[in-house]
Amino acid sequence: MTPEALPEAVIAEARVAPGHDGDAELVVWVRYGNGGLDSVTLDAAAAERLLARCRVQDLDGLRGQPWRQLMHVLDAAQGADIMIEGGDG
Amino acid sequence: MDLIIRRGRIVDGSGLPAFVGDIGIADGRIQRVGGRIEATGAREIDATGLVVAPGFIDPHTHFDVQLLWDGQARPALEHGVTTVVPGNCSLSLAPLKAEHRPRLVGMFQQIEEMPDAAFDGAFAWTWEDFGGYLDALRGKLGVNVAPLVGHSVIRLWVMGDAATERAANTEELQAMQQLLRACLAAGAVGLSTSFVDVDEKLMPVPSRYAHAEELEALAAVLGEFGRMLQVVPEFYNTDITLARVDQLAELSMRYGIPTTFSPLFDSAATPDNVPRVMARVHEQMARGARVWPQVQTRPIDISFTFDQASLLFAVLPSWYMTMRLPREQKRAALQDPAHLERLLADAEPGGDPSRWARVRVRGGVSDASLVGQTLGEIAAARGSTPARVMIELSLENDLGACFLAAKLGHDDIDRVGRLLADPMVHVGASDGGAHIQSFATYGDTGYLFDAFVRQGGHLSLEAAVKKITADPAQIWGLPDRGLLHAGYAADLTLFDPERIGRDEEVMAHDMPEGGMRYVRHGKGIDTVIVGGAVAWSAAEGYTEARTGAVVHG
Repeated sequence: MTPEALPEAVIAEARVAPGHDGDAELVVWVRYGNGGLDSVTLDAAAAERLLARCRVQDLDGLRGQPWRQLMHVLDAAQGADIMIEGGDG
Repeated sequence: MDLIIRRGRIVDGSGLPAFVGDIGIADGRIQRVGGRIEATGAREIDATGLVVAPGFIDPHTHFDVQLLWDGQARPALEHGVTTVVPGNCSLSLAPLKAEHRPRLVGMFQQIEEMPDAAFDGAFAWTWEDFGGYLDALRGKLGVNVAPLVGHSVIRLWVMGDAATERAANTEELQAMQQLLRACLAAGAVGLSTSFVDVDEKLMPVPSRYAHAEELEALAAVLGEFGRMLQVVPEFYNTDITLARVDQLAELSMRYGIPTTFSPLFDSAATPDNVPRVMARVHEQMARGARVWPQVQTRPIDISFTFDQASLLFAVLPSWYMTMRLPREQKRAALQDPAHLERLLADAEPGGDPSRWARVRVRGGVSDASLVGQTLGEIAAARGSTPARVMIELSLENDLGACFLAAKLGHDDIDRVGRLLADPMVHVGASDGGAHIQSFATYGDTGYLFDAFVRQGGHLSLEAAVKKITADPAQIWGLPDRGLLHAGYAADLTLFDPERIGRDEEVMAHDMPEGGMRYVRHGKGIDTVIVGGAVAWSAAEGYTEARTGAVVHG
């Protein structure tokens, strides 16, 4: 199957997790077109931007949102160096 | 003999079984270990019932600034730590040109949360070069210091403002190599770098602008000295961390250097992170690379106030929406009876108060007697519920009441215990001296014995001692440290194996000009000896001994 034919990656789940620095963080799991899963971690500000951009009020609402929403949120994160890496399951 | 320790249970750091005997010390060195010493010492300590171990080594601290006015690195010393490694995460206080001091202060304040007063009058900036910083420490030290030099400050020295704008050119690379060479010759035990840290404006620190070629050039200089490369990888993403493990392995093999990365911690949100990273570490170690993951012993606590929208509330939509309101609207919503009832119904479904009952008040309240109490305890006293009390306290204190949800991550004793017992795991990442206004970074060594020797049984007493003495000394190439052997430096910690642990986190105002930080005091430590002199004891507290040394790699 060509990459173009694969379904678009979507947010599979978002979970609150403890951060190394003592703040709560949001771990967002992305399911790729080939079924692979990988995660990115957002701080509180980026998580808020994600909810706002997706126009949802809670974490459950993030399920199924296109991965591009994350890209926009991360682009807006000054100084953040969070990248999306493809995983193969 | 200057000092004889009698009848102690000697755990010598090697991992071999404990044995009972005497230890003789003279001229700052261990002279004899084991058996009965017939001679009389100028001072003698009866260690009956106590473990006598090498002093503990903490390889990941940010005591760089504090050491300038507190050469004992309080309270690390009272936890049995006799050697600290500052200068981690790409930041050290030298080499640093005078014109760059304000920029570095900003970076340090972001990481250490050190108040302005600490930089304004608590010490004099008498140095620019690395050797000058070490000279400023010498004579003041009650603890040994094995300092790293930071990649960010090396960049700043050579490139100035361009350090946070672009990659280095060939001339700048050569200048950085020269500068690193000088720092290592002056006594740095290695180089630290970071792919994660930010400054006070949340902009990347200088090391993050380096290309791979720059790190390679600096690793080549480390190879001339056989010194350590410490790295903060993108620990929030497993795949990138794996790539960094591979990168470090290549540098280690090519230049014959040890490398270490931190932090690596376990979380229920990313349960495959540790297994995947450790599998790659084992693979690379089997090839002959030296890539040591640093793992902290303590669980991760989360603190929060109602002033900010902590993600802790994201699992409760009504709460999270309320917390994200502008301040005055938030106050109004919390005082609205109908809205309050909705919040309480979500927070304590079916009247179940368990979710918030164990959360503690850690500060920011006018009634100081509440600090340290759980919301469950306060609720019981008030005839209320934990969630309602949390809201009441926040409103009573202008949303400044600060709460602590303990053990939310890296808290599965069995998973963490098995990880710590892995021979490829380096106990570290304490961050001692950092995050001082967020949480206490002290007592990880005591917690190791409490949680993973006594409670979990994942390590023997001897193995746990080795993890924080001989292992770090060997990994970091610290000569004459980490073992109780004749001729070694006389750094020793005497402790009660049934009591050693960490005390509760408390607020202290012992920073310059009364600045606040969180600390934990030691538990079960009896005596700490640095360079042959008693530096701290349960009976005397901190002593006047300043026998700490700058430990060269």
